[in-house]
Amino acid sequence: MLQRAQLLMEQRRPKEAEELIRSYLLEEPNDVDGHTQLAWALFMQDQNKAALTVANQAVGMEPTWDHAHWIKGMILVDLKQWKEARVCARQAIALDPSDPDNYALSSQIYVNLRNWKDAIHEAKLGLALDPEHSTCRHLLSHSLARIGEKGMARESLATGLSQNPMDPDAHVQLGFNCLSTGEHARALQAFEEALRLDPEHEGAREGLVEAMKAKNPIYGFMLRGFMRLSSLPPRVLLFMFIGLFVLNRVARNLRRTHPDWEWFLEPINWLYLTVIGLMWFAESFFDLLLLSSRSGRHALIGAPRLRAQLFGASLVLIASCGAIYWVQQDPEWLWSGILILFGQIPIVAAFGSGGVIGPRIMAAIALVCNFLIVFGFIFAVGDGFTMDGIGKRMMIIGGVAGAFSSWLGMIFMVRS
Amino acid sequence: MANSDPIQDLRDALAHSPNNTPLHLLLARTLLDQGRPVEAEQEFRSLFSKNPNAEMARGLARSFAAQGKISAAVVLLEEWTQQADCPAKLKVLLADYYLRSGETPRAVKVYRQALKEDPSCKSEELSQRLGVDLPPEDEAQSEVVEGRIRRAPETDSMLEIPEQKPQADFSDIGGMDAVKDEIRMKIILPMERPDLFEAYGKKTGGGILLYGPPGCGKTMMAKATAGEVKARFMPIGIHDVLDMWIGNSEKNLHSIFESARSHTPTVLFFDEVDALGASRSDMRQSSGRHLVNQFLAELDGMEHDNDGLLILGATNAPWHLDPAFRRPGRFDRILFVPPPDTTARAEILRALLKGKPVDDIDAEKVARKTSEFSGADLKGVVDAAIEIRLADALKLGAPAPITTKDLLQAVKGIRPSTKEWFGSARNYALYSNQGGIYDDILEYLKIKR
Repeated sequence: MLQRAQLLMEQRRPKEAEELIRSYLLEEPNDVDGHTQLAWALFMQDQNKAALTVANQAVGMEPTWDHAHWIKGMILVDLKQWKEARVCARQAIALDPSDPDNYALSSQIYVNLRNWKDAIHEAKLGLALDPEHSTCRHLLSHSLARIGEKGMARESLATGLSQNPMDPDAHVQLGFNCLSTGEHARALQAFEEALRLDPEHEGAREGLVEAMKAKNPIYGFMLRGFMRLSSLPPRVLLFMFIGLFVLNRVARNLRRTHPDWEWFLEPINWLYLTVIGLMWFAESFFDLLLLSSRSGRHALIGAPRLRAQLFGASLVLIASCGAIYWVQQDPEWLWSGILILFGQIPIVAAFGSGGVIGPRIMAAIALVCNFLIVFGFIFAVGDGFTMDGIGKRMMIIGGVAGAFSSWLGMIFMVRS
Repeated sequence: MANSDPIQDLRDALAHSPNNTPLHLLLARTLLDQGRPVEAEQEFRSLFSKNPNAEMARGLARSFAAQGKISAAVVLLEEWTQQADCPAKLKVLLADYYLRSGETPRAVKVYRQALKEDPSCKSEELSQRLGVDLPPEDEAQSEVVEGRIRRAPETDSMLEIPEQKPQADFSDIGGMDAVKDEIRMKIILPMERPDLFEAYGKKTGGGILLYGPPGCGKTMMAKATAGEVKARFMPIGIHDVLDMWIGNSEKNLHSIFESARSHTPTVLFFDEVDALGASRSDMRQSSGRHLVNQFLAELDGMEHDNDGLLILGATNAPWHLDPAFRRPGRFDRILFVPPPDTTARAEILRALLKGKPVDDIDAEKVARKTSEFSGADLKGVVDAAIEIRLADALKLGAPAPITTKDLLQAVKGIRPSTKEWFGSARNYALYSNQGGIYDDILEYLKIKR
């Protein structure tokens, strides 16, 4: 019966497999294999907490079986409980040091912890046992790329692809490797191949979007920079942003006290504004550009598409402010455009944050800010295109709140 | 004041006497009788874990069945009926569940066995539905019972297959004219005029794969196709083939094909064909691969002639089917069965509302508001509308008719289930559309590449 259940799981029918295993367990309530399979069937249905309970039972029944620890570890990885997952991986390796799956699990945990060195070590141990172990190969290539060993990563990927050219994950990794070296056409090819092999591969679709956007040299340059930054630990990233902010504040103060240093301090200010502007708006802007092409429209779906559309809507409002300024010659309308742009910051942060709390808080802030901005704009227009009433105040509150939310948003984004 | 709730009374009594098995059993049965199968299942599970016997298995199986988990009930009872001392009434229950899951021949076999062992456990209703109220020697002859043709097995090794005399044809399906035309051109006409088609080098017979979102009438379309070509219809499900013993699944599949070949013209319909023909590259177990290989060999008809055999497969996930199935001579013609169109939706709504108190329902109007809804979604709409009316009827004390407004209100609360399917299908059609096999999806979604 368990074999039948396994067959059903291979046929992507975990629910039916679960029913079968549950019936089997009624007959054989102490069968540890049945419990591990049930845990896996639940895991396949994203019922991680229930899966963990069953996996714990399996470990309790047969504490010397490495597979039970391995399954528990896999579930814990999905639950982002790294410390407990690492204990399971160590236990599994101690019980069966000849199973490459156990090293793959261990390496996966180190990758998630951004401990590239140990991730490489564990993946290499797994590959020493089975040179064709695809998961260990992916983890090795990925970790090598993250420590800047792009050549070695490419070599490892080539080996993996020669062993299994039908592996979509390997093509995705190759694509990102190519993106980081500026080979956009080759990256595009790799992502398309990955999607051909697995059209529902989320990483491949995201990679395809990035490769399409990277055809634009500005975005391509920016993407390489962001890819380098993303390999840094989160704390370093946060300190970098704080450092840049402090540098800008110092430069602004110095400009006041030493006006003759302006030639030197002004570029620092512009550099700061450019970095911040690119960080908050470039992705949405290039996504919006992508929506103008047919293939881009097909590839860009879900949250990034919505973000681009909201950005497009804000650009329409900004253009309206520009048009009103052109007619009225009231510089307040130019400032309104900037306030509208600030309203985009919490929107971008809401889409970029991870976890449960981050996106919700940022979405709430985005909603309030943009509500104030949009209705402020409507009031101002209704007030005979004047920017000195309630409309102006609403827009200022919304825009300034949006700008200040950037700090909170940055913390959520860096943490995710 | 005494508690009037018998279940609460039983629970209270059980709290004072937790090891009282008869009391526990009574609670479980009462829960089941009062239509609370989930709680009943919990109680029976607890009883079963302490004392696994036939009575507990029966109760647990009934709890499963009451929740619609027929396959779980079948698996549980199958295990128990293997035992020598299994009571006959358990076999009667198994026969009932086999019948409910469409496995008529198995139901007949088990029911006969049960009656042989203990004639007193005869169920009049089941006997009538299965046509097993005659002496076994008379039943050995082929007979028609309630629209089903039941055929005695020719040999001991041959698996009994549910055959149905098709009672539907295209006139029973409203709308969906494009699909019907396509089936006529690709299936019916080649069977009616093979000479003409062969003169132009077009093949006849063979396999056709119907794919589309769940609940959109693939099975109905297959039945109607069998009705149109006036052939026997043999629906095969995953449980007719899959067996827990290695090698038996392949044998079952071969028996099914052999049986169909011996009674041509026959339409052999494999529902959820991806479950039997999943891509071999995804499989770790060799047994799964052997089954796929056997299926391919049967479709090829290398050792046996498949003349007069029309093989229809239906799947929600054609992309999970092994690519080898799409080669010539196998499922080489692929038809997309989209969600019902407006006309079909109106027909479905009328059928669903038949026999219920209704006002002058504007089915077309509701149909226009339910774009992308599957048949199952429309049933959900009608159920929700009934609930709205039922609440009013309880207040007023008299049944109030269902109105178009109720249906439209119900539509607002239901999201078409086909959306999720199209989310996946879109990706396959955009990125893995070798040979344009999913062009119909792109056309349906109005996507230009």
